[in-house]
Amino acid sequence: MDADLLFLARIIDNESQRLKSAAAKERSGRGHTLIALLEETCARIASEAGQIAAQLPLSNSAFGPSLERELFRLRYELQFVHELLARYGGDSGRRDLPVGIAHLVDELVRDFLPRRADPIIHLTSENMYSTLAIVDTTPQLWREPLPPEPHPVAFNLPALDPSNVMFSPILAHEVGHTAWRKGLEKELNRRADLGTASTHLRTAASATGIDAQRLVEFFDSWRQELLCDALAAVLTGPSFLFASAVFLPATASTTSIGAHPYPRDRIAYCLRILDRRGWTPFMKEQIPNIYEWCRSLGNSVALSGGPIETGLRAAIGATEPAITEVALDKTSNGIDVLAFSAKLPEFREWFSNEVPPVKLSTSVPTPWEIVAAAWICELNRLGDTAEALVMTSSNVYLNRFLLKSIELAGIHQLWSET
Amino acid sequence: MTLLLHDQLKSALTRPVLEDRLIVEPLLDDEQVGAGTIDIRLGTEFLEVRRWAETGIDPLTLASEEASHLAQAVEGVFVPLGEQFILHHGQFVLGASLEFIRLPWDISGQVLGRSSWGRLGLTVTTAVVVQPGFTGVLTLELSNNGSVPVHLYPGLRVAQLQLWAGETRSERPESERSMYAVPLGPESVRLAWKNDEVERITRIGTRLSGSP
Repeated sequence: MDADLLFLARIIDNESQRLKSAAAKERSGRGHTLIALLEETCARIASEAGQIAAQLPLSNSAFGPSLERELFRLRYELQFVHELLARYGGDSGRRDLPVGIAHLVDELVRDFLPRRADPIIHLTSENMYSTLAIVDTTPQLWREPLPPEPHPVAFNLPALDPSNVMFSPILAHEVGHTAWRKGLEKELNRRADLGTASTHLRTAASATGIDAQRLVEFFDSWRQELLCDALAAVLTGPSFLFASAVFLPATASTTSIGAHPYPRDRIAYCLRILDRRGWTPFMKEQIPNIYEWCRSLGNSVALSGGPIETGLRAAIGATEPAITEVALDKTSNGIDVLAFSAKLPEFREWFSNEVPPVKLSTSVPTPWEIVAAAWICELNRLGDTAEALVMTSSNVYLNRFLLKSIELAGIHQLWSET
Repeated sequence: MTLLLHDQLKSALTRPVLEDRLIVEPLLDDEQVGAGTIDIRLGTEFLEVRRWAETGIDPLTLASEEASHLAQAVEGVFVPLGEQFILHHGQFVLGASLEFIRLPWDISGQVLGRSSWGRLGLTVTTAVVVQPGFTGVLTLELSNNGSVPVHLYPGLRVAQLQLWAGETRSERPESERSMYAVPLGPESVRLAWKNDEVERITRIGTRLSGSP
């Protein structure tokens, strides 16, 4: 038995050393905190395996099974290390993506996760635009106390279209999910009328016989989605409405209850947030047809009429004011309609001359101002139609041009600040 | 043609109508505008040819298919400000200007290296001509002719743009390109010769060799 366990301990020690040296090749730039964490974890696993190996000659055979369990736990942890390293190791300090992408991601970190996230830009075809706080998703791997923040957060961009700037407001929504896990959920719980929401959910549960806990899960998921929508809409203005209309898509008329609210409900809520931020007169003037199209979609939500849906909607309705307030309070760099309207003629002039708007007469534009201006100018150019939304979002040349604009404006800003 | 000196350069950069203005953005420092040139900074994007992927470059066969093949053999490397790209002895890469440039239709230019880099063994450009109306970032041809590696930092001034004003405006040629389809990084393959000329030279070679 001892010889078998010693053999296992040696394997673990060997594997942890190999993974540690594999990690050591990739520890600079964005994502380096994950590499540091994995190196530390490999060292910790090797140390624990060594301690067990040292105990073996001294231990009573009765302790054999528990030591064996410990060794298998360590081996299991090494598998996680291997998976994380294989998935994200090459992303640390990567140099194969335009600098503008890093500027955009850094901006989102500053807006929603200040000093808390070390962004790992990961290209994938799964869960595109989602963000993942790696420490939260693999808690079994880490030991307290963790190193001080920032901790690694994966930004999953579409592998074949990572430079689509017009969809960056969707990424803003997804960063909201990480912000939710890092404190916004508690903030919303503190402010929301959860008593009324709970009453609606209990009523729905008793009317249908469905497990109330299941309803609470739907409710949690819906309010989280709406808060992320609100954060993105406050931050990026009508760009989020346009990107969502294409990405969801807005015309979907599902009536099945899932983790996300119905797309048309989300469009309607986005319009309410934009209205709260003063964007309605601007949209009516600039893109009246698209505005009306979105409004009519939001007003024509197909309802199942069932008690679950009714209860969920009532619970969300009771929470919506708090969701909106949290989003408004937590987004300090949101695009301002008056300031933006004043800059729009200048943006229009730069875009029509095909010159990146790196510095306007009064200020260096933010990425979200550049994206919003591009949406509006392109929709004005192509026509005020739903089809123009699709054409604009998929314009490869425009997206590359905007990425360069964001990079150069970011460099200009950094230069003047430093 | 008149060489633009400091005051004329400043004047061209501030023409009231954007369409007629000389654009160099971002112009991070006023001192970039010198006595007779504008300093150009190194951009963040590089193109390296993967040596293992190519047997050689033959300009006579570098027509459409070959050109696209070569374009696939280059690898983009993006280096943010504050980081470095190391150019090894004998290595050649394409870089780009940090600045986005647009010349008005009455101005043409030439990109020149800077002697301070040349003395380190670095060639930055081959005196590239910039045509009136050019819009985009400039491609730089970076070559380390020295014997030790050179560390290149995006944001450093590596080249200079000398500009000449004509008395008349160049006619705007018909352009079939899509809007925003301007060079935004180094461009690897832009052939200076035409396919029909390549075919003519090949046919002449066939006649001279007596092959059917």
